[in-house]
Amino acid sequence: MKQTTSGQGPHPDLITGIAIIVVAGFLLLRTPDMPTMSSLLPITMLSTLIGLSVLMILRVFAATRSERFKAPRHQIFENLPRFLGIVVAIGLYVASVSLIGFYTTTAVMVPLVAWSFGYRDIKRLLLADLIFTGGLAIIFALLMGQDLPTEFFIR
Amino acid sequence: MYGSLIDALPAVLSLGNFAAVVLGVITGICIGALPGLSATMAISVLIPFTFGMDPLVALGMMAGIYNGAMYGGAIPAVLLRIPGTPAAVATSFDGYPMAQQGRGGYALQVSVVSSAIGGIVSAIVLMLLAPPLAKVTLLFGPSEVFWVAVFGLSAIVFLLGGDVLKGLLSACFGVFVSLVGLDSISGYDRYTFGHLELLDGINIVVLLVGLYAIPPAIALLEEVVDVDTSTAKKLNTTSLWKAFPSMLRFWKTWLRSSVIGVFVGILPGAGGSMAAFLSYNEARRASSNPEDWGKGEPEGVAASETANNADTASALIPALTLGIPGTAVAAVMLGGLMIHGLQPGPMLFRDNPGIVFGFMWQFLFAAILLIVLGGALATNSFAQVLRLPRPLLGAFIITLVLVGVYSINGRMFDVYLMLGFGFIGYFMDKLKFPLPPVVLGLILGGFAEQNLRLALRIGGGDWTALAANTTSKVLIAMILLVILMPLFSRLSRRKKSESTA
Repeated sequence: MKQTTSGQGPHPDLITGIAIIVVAGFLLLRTPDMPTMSSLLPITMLSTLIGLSVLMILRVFAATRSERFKAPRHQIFENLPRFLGIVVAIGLYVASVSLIGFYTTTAVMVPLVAWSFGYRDIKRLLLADLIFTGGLAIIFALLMGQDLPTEFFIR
Repeated sequence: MYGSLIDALPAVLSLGNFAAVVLGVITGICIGALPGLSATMAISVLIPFTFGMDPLVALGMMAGIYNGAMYGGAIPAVLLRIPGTPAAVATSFDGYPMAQQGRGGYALQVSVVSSAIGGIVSAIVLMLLAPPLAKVTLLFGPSEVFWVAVFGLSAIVFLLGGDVLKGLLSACFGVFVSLVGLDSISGYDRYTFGHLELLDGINIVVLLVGLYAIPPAIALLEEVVDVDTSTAKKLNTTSLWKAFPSMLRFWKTWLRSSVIGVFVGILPGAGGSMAAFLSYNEARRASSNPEDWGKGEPEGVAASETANNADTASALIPALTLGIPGTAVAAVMLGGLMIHGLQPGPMLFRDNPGIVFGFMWQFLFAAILLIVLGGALATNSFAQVLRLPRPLLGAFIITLVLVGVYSINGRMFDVYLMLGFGFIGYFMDKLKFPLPPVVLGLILGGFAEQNLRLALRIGGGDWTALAANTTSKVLIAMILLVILMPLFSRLSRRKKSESTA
């Protein structure tokens, strides 16, 4: 894991700490409606999350002033455009599964994603796609009898 | 006590169950050989597929994958100096120099034999220790069980190493996730936000698959890695049986490393990589030629591989007897048990002896099968796995997890939830938040809450009842020890460095 001691923008731990406090605070607001014993552990956990996040934020500030405290800045994205591409591809895949069916989506998306992310041997790609999608169909449709989102052309 | 162990053997030897172990070992070696993919990921992906299977078939595949992957990690560690699994880092120290000297095939043979020996010792220790320990834990009441759960959580946070603050945050997150759904005692629905799908709580498999399978799949697509696999083509491997006599001189290392691996495996929070490093260091210290280590000493490979396989079955001792998984893989395996309706803990030994003891046999057979399946010819074939294109593999994994999670309940909601956990896992991984405490928090959170409330009800709402008996006091002392130990060791290290300065 790459890590740097300095960097531009706010420290990732600072952003994470603030995000945890906001979410935990919001969830904590729902506990007063709960029966006392049901709310015991949620209150404990959410308060601890907030307390620990405050400590993490304080550590970031302390690290900028003193060398005794360490808050290494970890690099989050190896390659941001590729990461965003993956998010879009996964979103597209999940949406298409519901819309046009599982096997059709898989048969189209697997080679498309692999090709987009650098594997350009079309022949092998299509062969792998055929084996993979066919294998899934054998396992789920024939052996397990599992219903997966139906194909648009047989609805 | 051990009668059930013998009774379980015929079922394990049936064709279906045995074939599952064989398939698991082969899959595990292939997965382990792929850098970036781990046994935890492989088992997470497998679990949803085992839903409709016989429990022993499913568990046999898991045992096979676990053992296979621990050896498989050695293949890229030796050939490319890229450990396939974190536990194989120490293997690369001497394995890679051996490959450069044209002895890569021999290094892999030492790896496979050492892995098998470590795995066999570990499985035998599991068979011998788990039944009596389960008998003792049957005597535990709700307050003791609550403290055991707290001990498990604190052990994984404080003994895992790394950032304790982030470990604690991870554990709290895991416990919080376990609270989602209908409160089994009061019937109040907590944090379901009107989603009926959440009333039963968050399925552990959904969380496991999200946390452990999505981040490596993203990494396969995200990182542009050009791996030179030319060394995988020329291994210079001879027959394993011809090479075996020359390995017999490692018997002391095998013995020492097995003991270290088993001990580290039992310890909650520590894992295969810690076992491998400890064992490597000890073997080097005991060696008559420590100056040759790191330059291609096969004994270094033997030390590391024996230890990282010796922690496999032993990690299941606390998991099966107490329901506390010591490592991420053990946690995932508990998830596998749970989706088959088997609740880990002492009751498992009483209610399902055939399955739990059969599972132990499967660990032993998986370890033995390593030698058969990882022999000369197979090692050459497994090395070719390294040539699989990463983008295609990433796309395959994402599809497999999607279809696997969907098939559990036949609903897309679980897929969305799994992807949500996947992205959380991705960022946690990048920000160095440890993942095992999340899983343990999810497993132990509900378990701890139920027993805490039961203990309080028995004690008439008196909180001191939680520490009323001796066992509870001992457990509290152990928790304090686990929490304070790293603090003391850090203080002593600081004192030492100050005095040296």
